[in-house]
Amino acid sequence: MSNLSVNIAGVELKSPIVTASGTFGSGKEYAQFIDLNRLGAITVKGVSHEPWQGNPPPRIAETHGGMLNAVGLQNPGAKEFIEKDLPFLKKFDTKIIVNLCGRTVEDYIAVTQDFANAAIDFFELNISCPNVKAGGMAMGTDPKMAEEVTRAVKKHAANTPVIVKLSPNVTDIVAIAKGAEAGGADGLCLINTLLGMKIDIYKKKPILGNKVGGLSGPAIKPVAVRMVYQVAKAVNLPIIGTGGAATWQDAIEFIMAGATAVSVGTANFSNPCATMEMLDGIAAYMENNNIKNLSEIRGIIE
Amino acid sequence: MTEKVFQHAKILSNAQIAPQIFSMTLHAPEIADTARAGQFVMVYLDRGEMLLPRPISLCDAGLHSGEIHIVYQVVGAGTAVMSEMTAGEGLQILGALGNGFQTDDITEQRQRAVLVGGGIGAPPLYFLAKQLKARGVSTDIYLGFRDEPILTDMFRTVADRLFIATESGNFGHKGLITEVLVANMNDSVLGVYSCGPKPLLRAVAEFSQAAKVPCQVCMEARMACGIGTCVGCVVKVGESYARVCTEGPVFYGNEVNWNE
Repeated sequence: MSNLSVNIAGVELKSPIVTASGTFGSGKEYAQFIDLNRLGAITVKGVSHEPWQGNPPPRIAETHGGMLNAVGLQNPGAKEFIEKDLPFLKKFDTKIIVNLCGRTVEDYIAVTQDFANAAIDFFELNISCPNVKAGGMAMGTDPKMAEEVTRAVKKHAANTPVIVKLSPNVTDIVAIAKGAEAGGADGLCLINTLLGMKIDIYKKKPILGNKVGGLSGPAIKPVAVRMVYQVAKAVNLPIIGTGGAATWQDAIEFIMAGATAVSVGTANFSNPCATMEMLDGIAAYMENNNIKNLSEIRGIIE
Repeated sequence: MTEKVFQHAKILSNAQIAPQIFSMTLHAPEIADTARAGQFVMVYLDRGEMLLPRPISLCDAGLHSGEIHIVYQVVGAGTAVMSEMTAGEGLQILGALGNGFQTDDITEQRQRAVLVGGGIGAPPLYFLAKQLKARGVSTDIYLGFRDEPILTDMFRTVADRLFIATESGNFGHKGLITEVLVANMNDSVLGVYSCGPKPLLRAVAEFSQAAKVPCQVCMEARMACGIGTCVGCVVKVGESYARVCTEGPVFYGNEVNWNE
């Protein structure tokens, strides 16, 4: 039996498959189709200190091999999340990653403090959402700002490891990754969605209410694999690779590019059982190729 | 809340019934057993370039041996793929999703209900009318179409009174179905249920509110997950955004913010 466990910042995940923020609700919605206990971790929907209303609809547009979304991180705020959603998740034997969002450094500190006694496993610092005007992606596109917000959150995160989620909407993602590392990040997650647009040529209007949105799905996977590869070579931090991963082959690709774990997002929509099928496939691949531990193939690409 | 089932369903029939409109039945006993009128299923197409499942309302369920019936319009590549499928092939589906119509109040009263459908919004009202009839509720059904009515034979079996309008005048009243509704609505009506394009839903909701009759509208939206996780399919209800797939697709007409 192959060992699927991986280690991120001293925390053991029983498998390398993680769900991506914003695609898995708070876990409850998928619990009737899949066994949440098999997941390495569940990343919950983005949570802010105060409730966020989100963007006007339409928020979703399908594109060739992908989809655009401009949800704008609608969420009921940290207090309600901790009271209503977290207790359900804690019943499962998996790790919990809480995705934090904000518009200012102070917002990020406030939401970090909201979770001071929540006993979660990781923070994921969302400085990469393209659908939030201030904060969000703006902080993730400047190495100095990425460093500053990472340091601020680290200071208030006590012993909870902080993973910084990076935006691909930059000229040099390695520079941002190094900024987060300098700020004290315990790990990185990349990539968030690529900023995109779709136009209804008959109505002569953008399809999305927000005009632009984040592109996800298999269409962006080669970009994600390339960025994971570049960042893994440049920083000394564990990486959760994400962006279009939908099959076990995709997961192996991310791991070979240098990822420790692989986060599954849009694939949950096209196949609610995608994560389970990926785990089965990874285990079979390891068995067939005599791989005892995923560290044997991690970052194997020169 | 009914259990949601993700299952492979065999197509029993798939036929065109009007221009761009298709009728499909599937063998999906677990979904058929629990489905209520106003609920929908997600249809997975298993095509790499088309990632997202298609939300389709149930036109009927559990009619015999665990069948579900959907009627859909070919509006894009996904529904075009569905239209080309044949009996014996399989489709992955997830259902039954959403809240469905609330009928407890009216069935206790054994009174009259009014159902107003427009175009491809008509099919879910057949399911509702059938459920209401089974509980002894009389229904007046108003259906509006651009040119060609659909499912009229089926609706005749469940309606006490059936009114049809077409914009072209090809069949029934020439004009909008709301004109027929205004002319025929009477005082004994205890509930209005509507499904169709947003302008129709709004007109029906405003008319019902003026008549002081509770009105439920079945809405649609672009969807990704269908189970409440992506928060993509929202409509403005009161001051905040509600998910069509989870809080809906049926909302009370007076709660929807029609200006959004």
